[in-house]
Amino acid sequence: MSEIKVNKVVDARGSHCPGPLMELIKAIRNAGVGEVIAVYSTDSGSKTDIPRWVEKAGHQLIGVYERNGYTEFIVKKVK
Amino acid sequence: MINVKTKSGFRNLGRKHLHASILMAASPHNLVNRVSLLLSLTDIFNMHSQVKKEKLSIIAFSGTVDKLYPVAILASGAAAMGMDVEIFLTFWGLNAFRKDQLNQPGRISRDFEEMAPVMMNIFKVKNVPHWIDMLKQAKEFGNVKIYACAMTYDLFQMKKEELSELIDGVVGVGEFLEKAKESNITLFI
Repeated sequence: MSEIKVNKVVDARGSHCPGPLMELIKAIRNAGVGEVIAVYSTDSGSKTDIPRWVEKAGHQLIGVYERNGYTEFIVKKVK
Repeated sequence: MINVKTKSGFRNLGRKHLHASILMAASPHNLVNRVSLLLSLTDIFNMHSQVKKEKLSIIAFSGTVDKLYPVAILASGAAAMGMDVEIFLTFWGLNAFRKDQLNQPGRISRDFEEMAPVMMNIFKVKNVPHWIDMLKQAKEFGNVKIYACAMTYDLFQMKKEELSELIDGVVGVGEFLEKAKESNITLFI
């Protein structure tokens, strides 16, 4: 498996719904096209909300990983 | 339905007509027309999506924190998803936006009175922001408008300076309904 280069990590652990999603959107707005953002979230709503928003906004969800006590979402800004 | 600008002005173009136009333009003899039609269709769809932006309207009637949080969270979520949001504050909902009320500990519905200390403690331990701060963030994030109900404003003899700065204006029920009828979702909380 090739390692994905992450340009920015958004640690939204401890933030509640829809906090992590809003943190991600802010990071995407400030990122350049092609940049990859990782979001850490302990909010269970993120598991549905982040993939849904990424699809709606037309970006790319590279992966969702269950880590030790939190979920990591890897998102690429495509436009 | 899609509005198309023609020489005679705007007219509605049904799905059937649109389909027919695409078939006509798809003829290989008609490449230039096809390209220009596709370009104009893109414009129409872009225009259409701008005009018909999704919207959430909330009538916030309740002044207890267990109902003001859902208002704030739904507004934040909708703003995050790119929807317009309009909140109409009436009765206890508007009362909760008075500065003197905002400085006091929040009230909770009487039905769940015995749960209040537990709930407040959880919110504190888990660092849940105040609902008014959530709304402030939602306003910074997207197009979120908050209106005070004119009748409540008049009955309780409120003054603009006594209310939270998050309020965008005082409107009557007629104007709010005019705005809300364009919504995809309308809630009474």
